[in-house]
Amino acid sequence: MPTLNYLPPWQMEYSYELTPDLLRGSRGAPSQRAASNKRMVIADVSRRLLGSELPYFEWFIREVCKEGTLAFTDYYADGNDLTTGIIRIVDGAYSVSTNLRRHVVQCQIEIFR
Amino acid sequence: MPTFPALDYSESSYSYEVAPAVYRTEYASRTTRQRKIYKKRDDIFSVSLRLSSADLLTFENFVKDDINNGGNSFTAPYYTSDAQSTGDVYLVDGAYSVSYVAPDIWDVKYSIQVIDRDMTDAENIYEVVEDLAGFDNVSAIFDALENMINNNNL
Repeated sequence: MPTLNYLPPWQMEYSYELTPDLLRGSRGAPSQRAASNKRMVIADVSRRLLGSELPYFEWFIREVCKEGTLAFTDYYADGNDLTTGIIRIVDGAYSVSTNLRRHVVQCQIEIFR
Repeated sequence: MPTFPALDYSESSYSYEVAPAVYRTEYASRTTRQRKIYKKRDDIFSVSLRLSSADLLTFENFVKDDINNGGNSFTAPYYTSDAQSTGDVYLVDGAYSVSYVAPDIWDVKYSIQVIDRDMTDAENIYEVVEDLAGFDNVSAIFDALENMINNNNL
């Protein structure tokens, strides 16, 4: 599995969605039970890059991770401070805002934990 | 192919979106899968230019006459990072917006779709950084080269 090195961490914004695998019934009294221990965690994140860190990041995502379809090891900052984990960019899609020297990359990531 | 006119402009903002042809499946069991359908490098760039009245007229005549009311592709510069690249682009929907700022100052906003964006520079940068194990080592090499050349320290 590829590892993304040498870049500052993702900053998780103030929202992420956690969707566990549950079965819920509503006939009569509502009930729900876990179908499995799987869960899907999607977070809105941004990353501030400087100069040539942007083309380095773009080549990694688009070639090493095959247009963002592959998961990779990366680290991100959340309530647990810096965390290393396996993530994947949702749909391989991201946006870049830049003043030509400083760049902000935004996307959704799927965190596998 | 027409070439974007040489306008005297300053970019006030620059952004782009990358949306590859990826098919994502989310299963009821919360397992997910992503696969690439085909390699797509047609990235959308949002551009904002500040122009004089004369340059605005040049821009509008270029869109109307040179690229057939915005329908044809043309060669134009665009920026990723701080290096200018040149490529074949489309003016998305042939559309742009113009805002009056002050006498002889106009803001023009439009989107261009870069056709098959060239990633050669990104590939070269990635290989250099990987070979030297990090950006700090790349900077150190450049500092050493600068010292060698400027101080004749061969």
